[in-house]
Amino acid sequence: MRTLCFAVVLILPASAFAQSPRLELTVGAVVDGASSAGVTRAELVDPAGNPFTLFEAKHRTTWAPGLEGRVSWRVTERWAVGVTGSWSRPDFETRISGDVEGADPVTAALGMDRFAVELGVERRFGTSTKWQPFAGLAAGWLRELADDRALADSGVAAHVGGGLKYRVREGRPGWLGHIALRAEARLTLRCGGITLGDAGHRWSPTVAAALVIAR
Amino acid sequence: MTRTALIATTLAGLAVFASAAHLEAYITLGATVGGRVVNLRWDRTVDYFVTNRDIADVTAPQLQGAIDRAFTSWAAVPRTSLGHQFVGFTGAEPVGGDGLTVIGFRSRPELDRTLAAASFEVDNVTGRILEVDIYFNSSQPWSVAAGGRAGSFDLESVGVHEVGHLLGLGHSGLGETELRADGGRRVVAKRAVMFPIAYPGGNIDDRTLEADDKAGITELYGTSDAIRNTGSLSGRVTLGGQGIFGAHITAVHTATGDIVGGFSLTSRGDFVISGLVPGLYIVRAEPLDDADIGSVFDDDAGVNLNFAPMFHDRLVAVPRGGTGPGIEIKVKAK
Repeated sequence: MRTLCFAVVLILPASAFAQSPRLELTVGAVVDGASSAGVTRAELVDPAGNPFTLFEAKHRTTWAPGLEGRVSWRVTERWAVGVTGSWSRPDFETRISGDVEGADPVTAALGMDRFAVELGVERRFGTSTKWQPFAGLAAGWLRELADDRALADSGVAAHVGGGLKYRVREGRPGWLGHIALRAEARLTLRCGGITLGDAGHRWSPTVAAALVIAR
Repeated sequence: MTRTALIATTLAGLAVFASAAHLEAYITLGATVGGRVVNLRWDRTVDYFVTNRDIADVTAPQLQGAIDRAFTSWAAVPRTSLGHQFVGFTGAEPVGGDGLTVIGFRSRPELDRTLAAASFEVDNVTGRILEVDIYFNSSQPWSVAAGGRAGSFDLESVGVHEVGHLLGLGHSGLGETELRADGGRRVVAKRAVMFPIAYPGGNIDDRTLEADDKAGITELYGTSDAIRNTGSLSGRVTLGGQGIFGAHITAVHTATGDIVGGFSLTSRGDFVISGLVPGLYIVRAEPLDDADIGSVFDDDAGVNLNFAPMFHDRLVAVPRGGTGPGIEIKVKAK
């Protein structure tokens, strides 16, 4: 009986490996879309408690290219869990206008580095063709650093999205035995960081393209 | 030991200034000791007396209650350490020379635009505060009603302002005023208890401290925790490469809209604003309105008014527990 069980254990991984690799490494480029970051009004308060605006500042985060890496582990034929790490370099821009004393409008900006590490799950569809759709969601830690490193703050990042994976090569042994290209679109939510502090959250689109190797 | 009656500050209920004020800043009171300027701050618990004299609508115990609440408002600012202790009622007047810190009413009908005033006596060798006296002008109408009373100035609100002086804060410029028909001025809007002109009677908003007030008291009485968790912003204001003295610098937190300010206080145009919540700031420089110079500086000589308001062209990151990169705001002549 012990011998039989041992044999089954040996056979099952071999069978699964033939269908789809368990471990995937993904490296690629990512583009974080621009997003509004709200409006700040520098305000006094009048005797009746109403605001008196000194000037208005509209904030946005510019679109930003970056890099992304991902390690995922297939836990069933259709479901995988993974860890994604990303870096991008957006600018935080503020358009200041409407000064009560007539100061010239100005766009003030600050460059920053944005890092995120997210843990997520992914659902794969249609495992039998070269084109494999997938959808997933993830959430994790956000870190933003001002250009001059004077300020750094953490927050939360999360995304939901989906895409297509195109299998270039499959079914061979070793890391280069399974190669795919992956394209993905996401809706990303960020809270905190240096641009928002505790003041709220923002959504932005994100697209990513990557090379996948697996075994 | 030489004593000097160094500073007297007043809070105007109706008008002090001759032209509109639009400034944003807190500033601390200073004394010149051994050729250098030191902040006026208490190095011990503030032991104070209250003059045992009632007026029409306010008893001495009610005044003491309002003052106690005013002290408590300042002491409640996070990450600060300052103590106060009511010693008792006294027959002493709130005037200098007796070594006692006394708070009370005085009838000053000739000062028809003055609600209250604080005066200091400072050891001009050590810079130590010897006493501070605060009087409330009993010629003005006062109220201690919980919700305020129309036509009467709220004693607690004015008390918060005067206790701010007692603790070492000068006047803030964070306010806007307009000319009245009688030649005085009234507040259009403001955002600091330490603004030198009070809200009209019946208003109780100045019982609550604003960001500018909190930054000022944090600079003076911040604990080591405050030093670790707040930041500073520094730089220069220049015109044609030359420093500007007396410019108002405003820092607005991009996430909260809180406004805190400071002044360029050297001939190089150097400024430092401390006690800031970490974050990204919009920075703006403007000239001090010439009618307000006397409420901020002892001597108006050298205060440069000949430049236009201007925003700094970059956002400035204020770090936790440190000072952001020095900036230069290059203004243009009017």
